[in-house]
Amino acid sequence: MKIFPLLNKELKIAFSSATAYVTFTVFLLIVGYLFVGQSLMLAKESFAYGATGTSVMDAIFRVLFHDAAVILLFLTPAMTMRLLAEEKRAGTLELLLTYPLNDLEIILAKFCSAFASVVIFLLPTILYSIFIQRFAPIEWSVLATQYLGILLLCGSYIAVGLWASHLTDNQIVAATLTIGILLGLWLIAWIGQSSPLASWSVVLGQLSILNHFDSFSKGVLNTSDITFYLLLILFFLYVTLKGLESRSWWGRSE
Amino acid sequence: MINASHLTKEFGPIKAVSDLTFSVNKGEILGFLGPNGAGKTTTMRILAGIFPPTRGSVMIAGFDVLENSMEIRKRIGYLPEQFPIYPELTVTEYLAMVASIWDFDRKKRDEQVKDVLEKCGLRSEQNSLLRRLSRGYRQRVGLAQALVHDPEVLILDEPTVGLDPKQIREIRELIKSFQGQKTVILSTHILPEVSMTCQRVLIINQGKVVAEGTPESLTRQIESGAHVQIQAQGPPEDIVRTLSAVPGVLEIKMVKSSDGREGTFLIQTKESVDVRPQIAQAIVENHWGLLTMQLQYLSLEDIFVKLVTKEESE
Repeated sequence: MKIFPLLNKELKIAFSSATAYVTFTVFLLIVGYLFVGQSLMLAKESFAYGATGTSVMDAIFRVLFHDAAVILLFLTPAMTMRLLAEEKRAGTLELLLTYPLNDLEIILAKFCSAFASVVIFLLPTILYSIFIQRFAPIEWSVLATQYLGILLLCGSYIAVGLWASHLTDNQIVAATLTIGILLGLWLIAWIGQSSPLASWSVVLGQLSILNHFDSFSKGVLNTSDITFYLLLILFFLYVTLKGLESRSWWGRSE
Repeated sequence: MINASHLTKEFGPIKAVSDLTFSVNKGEILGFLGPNGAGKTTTMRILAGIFPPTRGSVMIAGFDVLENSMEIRKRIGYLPEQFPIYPELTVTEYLAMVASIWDFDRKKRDEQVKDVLEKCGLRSEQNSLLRRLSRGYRQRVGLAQALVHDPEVLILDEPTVGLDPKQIREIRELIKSFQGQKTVILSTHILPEVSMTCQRVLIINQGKVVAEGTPESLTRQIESGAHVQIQAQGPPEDIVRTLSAVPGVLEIKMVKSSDGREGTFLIQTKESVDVRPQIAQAIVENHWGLLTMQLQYLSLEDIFVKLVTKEESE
């Protein structure tokens, strides 16, 4: 596979700029802060009322994964904005297109590199469960489902970000557009709850990118939710591929 | 080796290249000469398969650029104008990345990279970050990435632009060393560059071929056939009649006249005949007044003057 040299290059570039490290630090600081807060709250409650039967999975991890999903909605665009926009701006994409690579390989390498970055971001959070395990039992299958959910969710974020990045040669435009679309896909459920659109609420709720995360955060594997994310990822990768193949983004620059 | 026929590329209403037909033989170095905006870069991008032509076709090594893009990519090395870099990578990292795209095994890949570092004089900079390199070295990295898979065809877009005279000479020597081994097509807007490196020249302007030939034959063409412009006092009709009879004069036209006593005339002469002494003599013999006389080059030189910036002497 010719993806690997490209993937290798992408990761080298991603982790040689400050963007990755700043994003990584910001993510861990906020998630760490929320983890400590949530744990202390649970400790206080159990001290006051005794064992209430609330599991740590519900009281800590479910909330934590929900927060992480929202934080990553704002942070992944920082990792994806560069992917194609910068290559277009610098002109390196022109060169890549003269190598024996097809456009799909380029797109997959970009997607996988951003996905690998997110996995690296999430790795340290495993320490939380190891820490909690000393005080309360951890349901590992629930935790695994939560991680699967957040990875699928981030995959969707990345696919949208990659698509936005192929539209422009300006990284800021790409990032702003990505956040805009992701916020739209999140808040779309909210308008369905207002009265004139009440009959649409089920449909609009189904479109919401975070609604589908609920089952994962509870530790429930739901085929329709998995399908939703996979379809979303495939859809955005497909339109990115078509956009890149059409070469219509190629203006006259001489 | 390269056959382009009736290439046309339109960007919306702008015709960047129109009906361009040319071919390059195996082992030949062809110079693509023209001013900025003549359609050189567009043509080279079409040849490199970056985007398709609006009309027309390109065959490289027997493959069609539209249908067998992958086969062609394996056979060409392309150096874009203003070689773009990944500033975060080192020279070796970058070249190894390019080489691994070419499906070499690890050992072969390292050999190719080493070889190309040597050829392009990059050994001393092999561990430098690309963003720290001077322009000359960046351009060498550009050549190195085009050469790393040892292609049959090289497409070089302004390979010497922005370099200092010493670097220009080195790059030119490198390109000349490919003669007979690789088919090279290089673009430039500098006239002496083609006479130094190329065996054949194609001059294009506004997307069209305006002249073609060896550098020598083109230079001869430029220096021979010419216009002579004179300003003389006397009856214009008589002047036209008398001067038409001078041997070597093909045509004479009055460009401007003032009150029938004075006029400006444009005289077209045969190639390689300087008629100025005879014209002067004829005017003096008829007791007219010769005010100015100027040699003006024919259209090809007009093209050169307008289109091609003369390189400052090194």
